[in-house]
Amino acid sequence: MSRIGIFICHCGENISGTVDCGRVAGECGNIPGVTHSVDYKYMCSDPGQTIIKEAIRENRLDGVVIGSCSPRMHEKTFRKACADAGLNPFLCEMANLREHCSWVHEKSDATTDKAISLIRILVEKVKRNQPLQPIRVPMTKRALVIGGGIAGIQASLDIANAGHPVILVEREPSIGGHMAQLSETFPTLDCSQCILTPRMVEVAQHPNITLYTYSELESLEGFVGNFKARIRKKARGIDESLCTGCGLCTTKCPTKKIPSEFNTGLGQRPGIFVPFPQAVPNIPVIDQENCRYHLKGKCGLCAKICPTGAIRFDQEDEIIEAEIGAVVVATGFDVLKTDFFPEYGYGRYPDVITGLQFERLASASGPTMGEIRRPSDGKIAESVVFVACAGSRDAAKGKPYCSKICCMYTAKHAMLYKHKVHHGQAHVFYMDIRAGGKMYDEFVRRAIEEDHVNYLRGRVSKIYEEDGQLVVKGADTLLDHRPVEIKADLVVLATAGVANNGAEELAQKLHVSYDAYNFFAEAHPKLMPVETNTAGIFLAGACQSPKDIPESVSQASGAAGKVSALFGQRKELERDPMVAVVNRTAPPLFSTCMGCFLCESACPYHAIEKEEIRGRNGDLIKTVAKVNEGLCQGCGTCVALCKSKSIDLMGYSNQQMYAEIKAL
Amino acid sequence: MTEQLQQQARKLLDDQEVNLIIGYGEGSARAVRAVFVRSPEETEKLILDERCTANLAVYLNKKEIRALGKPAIVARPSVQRSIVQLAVENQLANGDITVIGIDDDGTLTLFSDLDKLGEHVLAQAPLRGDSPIASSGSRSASSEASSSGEASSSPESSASTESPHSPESPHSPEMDEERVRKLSSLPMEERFAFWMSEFAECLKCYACRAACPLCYCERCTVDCNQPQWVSVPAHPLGNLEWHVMRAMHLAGRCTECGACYDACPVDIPLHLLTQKMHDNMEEAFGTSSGEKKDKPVFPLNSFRPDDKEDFFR
Repeated sequence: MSRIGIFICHCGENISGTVDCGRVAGECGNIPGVTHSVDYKYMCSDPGQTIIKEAIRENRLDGVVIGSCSPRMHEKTFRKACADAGLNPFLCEMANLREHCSWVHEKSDATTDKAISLIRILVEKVKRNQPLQPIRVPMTKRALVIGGGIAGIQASLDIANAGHPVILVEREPSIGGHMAQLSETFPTLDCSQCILTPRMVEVAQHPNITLYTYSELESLEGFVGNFKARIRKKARGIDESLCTGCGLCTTKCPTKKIPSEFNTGLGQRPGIFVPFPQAVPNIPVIDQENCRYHLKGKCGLCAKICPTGAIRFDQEDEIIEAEIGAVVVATGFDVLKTDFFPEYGYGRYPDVITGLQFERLASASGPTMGEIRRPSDGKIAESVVFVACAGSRDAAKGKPYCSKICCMYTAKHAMLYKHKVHHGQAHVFYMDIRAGGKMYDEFVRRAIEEDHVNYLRGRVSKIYEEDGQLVVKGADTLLDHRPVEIKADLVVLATAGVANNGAEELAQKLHVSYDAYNFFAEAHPKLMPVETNTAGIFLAGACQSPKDIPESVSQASGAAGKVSALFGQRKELERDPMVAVVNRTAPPLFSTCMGCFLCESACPYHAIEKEEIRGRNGDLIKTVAKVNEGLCQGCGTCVALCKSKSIDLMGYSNQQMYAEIKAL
Repeated sequence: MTEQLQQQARKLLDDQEVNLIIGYGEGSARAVRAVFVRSPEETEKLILDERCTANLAVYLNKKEIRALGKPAIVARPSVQRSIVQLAVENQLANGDITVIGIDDDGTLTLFSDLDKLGEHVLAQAPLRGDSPIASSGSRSASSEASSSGEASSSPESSASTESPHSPESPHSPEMDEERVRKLSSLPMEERFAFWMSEFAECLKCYACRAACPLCYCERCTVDCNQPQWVSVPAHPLGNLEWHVMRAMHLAGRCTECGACYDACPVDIPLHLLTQKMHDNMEEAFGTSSGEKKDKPVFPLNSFRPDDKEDFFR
């Protein structure tokens, strides 16, 4: 007969408010196999845990059921308490009386009855629980950071400074990301490049950081502590060991009129190019789609001019394989382009631009050297309209979320504009001004009060062209919805921040979850904001949701802290033993597994391997499936798929589940 | 045809390429039975005529047969499909068997490479285009028309007037298709009532399981008693559980040979269930079992990023 102890927690009044905890403890004491049953106000508190420990010792309990909050909250707490008292921690189960019962029902006898049922189910399970031992797996202490924007840079530096090797992979030819494109930063108006470029150089020079630019993650296999990454280093067309970064090739290239990605299409670049002068590494890339040599088979001017002979037209993509212990995903975001908005001209008007394009206009290193000249004819803009929430907070446009950074950068844009064009008119259409943050609201007030930016609360219904000038039609909702019409030289749309292209494919490669807008999902919105649901993969920056520089940097440091803490452990990694196991039976069957391996492709974690069962003389008896316990995440997909019920999940076995159902 | 087969079989045994021929031979009372030929002299037992349609692939997984050495198997198109599906499920590997393929037009082809067999099957007419399957010892269909109140216009109700187990009342793919179509058009309650009345006859003899080449598990779920998922006695609930489980386990795998129906002593048209599952799979995923493409995909255990459902992302 089992000796099971039941401990009912009141959770203050969270549970006892609607559930009669005393009656639950009393009636559960009568379940066969239960020898001890008590209730207490806070089971998770120190005295509460002492009650559990003493009961285990005094009553020689061989199983524990705790009726309290969600296991996500306190399973570790209670299992540790049991372990301290000498009970195998996996003989302790939690019934979620709070989320599954007291919070969702009115106070009534039926609610208490349900609580009793929830306990009874778990008593039957615990009777069949097996003592389990944690799984130990070796660990590679090397981090992979995907994305070399400010978040990736910060995470790489923090991990590298903690003494662990880091591989930083960046898709573009240079690290720096969107921050390198910005002119000034709010709320201090310091120059973005001035604070960023030293960090970029630090990355390049750090002995613990290996930098792969113009490279992408090809695949990631394995599990926490034991990932295998394949990185595709795209053909740059340059021998990096020979290139000195003199830049002669970029001046001689005959193809010069390619829209510059770095300048958001407002400037032009040659076919062999460095995205911007401060690029790290300062090594050009041959754009094979536009290079005359690649298109027509002859040209080769750059190869002729190169003083070190570093040009390699026939260079091929290289695949780099690396063993990795943890991954930080910092792939950033993108903004909607103007062609997304039919009411604002479908991208037809060159003088309707995005906020990111305005950054390039305002940047001293930008295509206009920092002068606010409109793209169509290069005239200094005398009147500029800024439209906040272009696409954001608009369910009809499919982006019901707030892009968070636009209120602040719009204020910054208007301010920068007024600083550059003193007599110019700056108008801002906004829905609400969301300026939460240190010195943020003061910054917006400064734009309104000191720089006299005209803030209009209302949305813009239409932008059209009339006599060579843009007309912005909107309404002022603070003045009784009066229609407003403003003639503007330039319109800046604060377009919604969206997930970077390729985010969905990357998430699937990494096996991390993502939301409806393709932003990567954190494990818990409040308590695990940098973790993903996949162990060993962490998030940093705007790939999780749109965020500003301080927030991206904080999250990056947070993720780096998590990685460092993981690497700071012993050599081996401990994992919960809730993994799938293929059964073994007596000869002549040896296992009921028939080796159909239909489970192999069903496993989302590639944890199914082949195992040969051999006799004493080495003869092959049978080939069966085997679960790699390091890779298995215990999802149970294989268990459900297996026709012969040959796979079982430790801690959630078929027998345990069946007993739970029968106890209802 | 028979002569050609016997010659081929004798040659295979003479050359010691195989140890055993699995084929058809005369049984009692004009019935056909499986024969296992182990010496060249015995090859004259082999016959091949229109009665020889039972799915011999079922013997390939039997331990007793495997112990006899490498077999060659006489394989009609439906058997070929079963073999291809078994290869997809890693139950047969190249070199395990030699296939004596008999096509509908009587052409005899030898396959020692299962990939070649896969290509051959793929090049044949699609599943439903096969010749009448499993007509040997076939039976009157217990008519769903009668239980659903529909009158005798359906093909099987005319067949039901004939004596049971007469070879003159074969069920053909066309007839089966028609029956599935008719059943599908019924309201859910009537459909359920039809199947419950059919399952009421079930004796739980598991002849359907024994006849099915794809029911190769050494321990069937129904025999698993820790815990006892499916109740053993032949009562309505247990019977329903068994038949639902059987159909689900064959979803996307059944090659529609009809052997289960032929084996059923109480004439439950249980092959219609797997046929319907097959239709559903083909409709939803565009796949057909028993066909080996470049990379065999079993839709119920694979994931494609462009899947139209997004609930599991």
